[in-house]
Amino acid sequence: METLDHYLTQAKDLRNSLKLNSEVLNVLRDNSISQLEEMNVPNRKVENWKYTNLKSILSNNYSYSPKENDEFELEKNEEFINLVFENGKYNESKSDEVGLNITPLKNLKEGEALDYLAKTNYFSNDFANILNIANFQEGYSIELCENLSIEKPILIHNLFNGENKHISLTNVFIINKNSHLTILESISSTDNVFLSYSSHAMVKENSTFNHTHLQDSKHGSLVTMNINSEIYKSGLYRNVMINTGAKTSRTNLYLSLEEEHAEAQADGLYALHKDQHHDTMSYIHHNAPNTESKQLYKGILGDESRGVFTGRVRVEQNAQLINAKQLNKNLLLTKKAHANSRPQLEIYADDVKCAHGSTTGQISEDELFYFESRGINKEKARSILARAFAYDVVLNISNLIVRDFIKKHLLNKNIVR
Amino acid sequence: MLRINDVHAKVEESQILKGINFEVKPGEIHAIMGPNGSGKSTFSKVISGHPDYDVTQGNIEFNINGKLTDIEDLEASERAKEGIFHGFQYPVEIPGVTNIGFMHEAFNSLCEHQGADTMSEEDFRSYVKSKLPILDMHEDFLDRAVNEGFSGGEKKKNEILQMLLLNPKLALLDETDSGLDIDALKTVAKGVNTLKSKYNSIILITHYQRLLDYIKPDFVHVLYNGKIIKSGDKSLALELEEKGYDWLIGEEK
Repeated sequence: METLDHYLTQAKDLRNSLKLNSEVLNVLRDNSISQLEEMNVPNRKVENWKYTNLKSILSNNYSYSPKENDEFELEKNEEFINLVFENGKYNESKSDEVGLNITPLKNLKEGEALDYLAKTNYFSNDFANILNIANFQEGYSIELCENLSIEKPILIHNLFNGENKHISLTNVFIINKNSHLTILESISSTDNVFLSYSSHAMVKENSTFNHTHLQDSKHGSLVTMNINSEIYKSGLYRNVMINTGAKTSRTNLYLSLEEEHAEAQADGLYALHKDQHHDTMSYIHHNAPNTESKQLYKGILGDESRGVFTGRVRVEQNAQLINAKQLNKNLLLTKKAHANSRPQLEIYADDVKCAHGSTTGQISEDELFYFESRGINKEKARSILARAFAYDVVLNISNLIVRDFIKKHLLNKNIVR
Repeated sequence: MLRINDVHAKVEESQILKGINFEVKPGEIHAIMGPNGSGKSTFSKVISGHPDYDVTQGNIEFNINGKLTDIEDLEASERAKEGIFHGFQYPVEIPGVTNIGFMHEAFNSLCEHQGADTMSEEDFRSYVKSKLPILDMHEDFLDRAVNEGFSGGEKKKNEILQMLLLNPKLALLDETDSGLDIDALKTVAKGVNTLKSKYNSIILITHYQRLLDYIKPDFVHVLYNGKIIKSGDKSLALELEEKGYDWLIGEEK
């Protein structure tokens, strides 16, 4: 209880100071605060938080402050349309022009983005989600109109600063029908922060949304992310989540295939070292027949790091003739690194194709000796092998510019040491 | 080139080599033969520096900068850069790493060691392409993952291709002939013969004399129970073909 008191007080202060125009959002915030009052930080008895205990890290009392230090390090990239968000606030003057409607959620009276947030799903009662909404600070509805394709990929610079700062954000992307969008969200911080970020997407009929996240916050940070997406008839949502930053990070991923021929791809890579801890809880929900989902999550775990992947695929009774594939693979680089992998299938339909699997292994001595016998030293060999291991996740990034960006990041990050 | 003085070696707790004396001069081809379990593979791994094999007695000297030098303290990758090449009996599959990328990395690491300029990807590709016809290999192989899904013969050709690219002073070829049909055997032998010169030495480790029809050794040695029990010229191999190993093992006992 005590740990949460700080965040509850803060949530109530925020409620007093931050006026929201919409009834929907106000109710949502009030409900979340009430729920938080009844809650504890989840311990290992809570199934979805079995391997991640936030209690000690939350006791740092991360605090919201409206004062901004506006010295953000921005490195624009000409291959993209650059959009700049500083501690969650959209900075239009630093951003390139783009054909999207970007509206602050707090200004909205009504609209699809708000309705979207009000819907309940598997994670509605999840601790990270409740903490996020109870402390709502900033967020946008980011909408692409019908029959529009933006060919050039968009790079969202999610820049954060402020030592020990608590930032709580919610963005909702709405991709209207017959449209096409590619976004890379780069999340980075120059200080140790607690970032709670919900990045949701609604993909309508015949639309495609390629949505990649690169989470590379400063090493001492705590990052919790909620990614929800609903995909409608013949829509395609591709999410790739790359985690290399923060000391502790957790992703709740919920993808719902709502109508026929909806398709989802949800891939991820967590490349960790030192004492980093990452936990992905994924839930893919087949709600309609003839839908398809593919998921490949890989972990590269060095030093004393730990990677956790829980992947549930649920197929409803009416969702016949669906195709779901899920695979989690972990590479342990040291004896002290840990991986936990829990694939789960829940199938209520009888005519479906579902495949899932999980492997955890180490670089074999035979592989290393093969490299060495060709004059390539152990260290180099390990780094080549780790990169090769990550390679198919990177290859699944369909946009070549985004793919290159991620490749370079992984190279510079020297994910193996 | 290479001198092995009374080498004893073990892997885990079992003593495999029990006193080997052996010398290879530049330009020579030696064949090491012997029944299963006699220590042939260990012999090659001890020379190339596999970390699981411990030399417990004796030493191995190799020509470094014109001088025979004890290589005990050199790791496998350093030995490789000094010019020892190990052709594997079972080449390792490495998913996710392209064959050409792997060879390029190896080649450039050798260049760096020798103080030469490294080669660009493009130049390296044309260099590799110039070697492909010797081994009857198609360019497709270069862009596939290292050895992944290669047939037995393709793997062995790939080993010899790497050997030709790295142009080692000493090539240790561990059962390069196993699992090959007669055409592939001839092709592999042609590759090995391409390396032969008065500067390069080759050690062939083999069960069968049939490889020696295509690669003519200067010396043939029989390894049994961790020791070389007989050495001779090419005729020894023919004699073994005819009589098997028993007559020698009998003598030994």
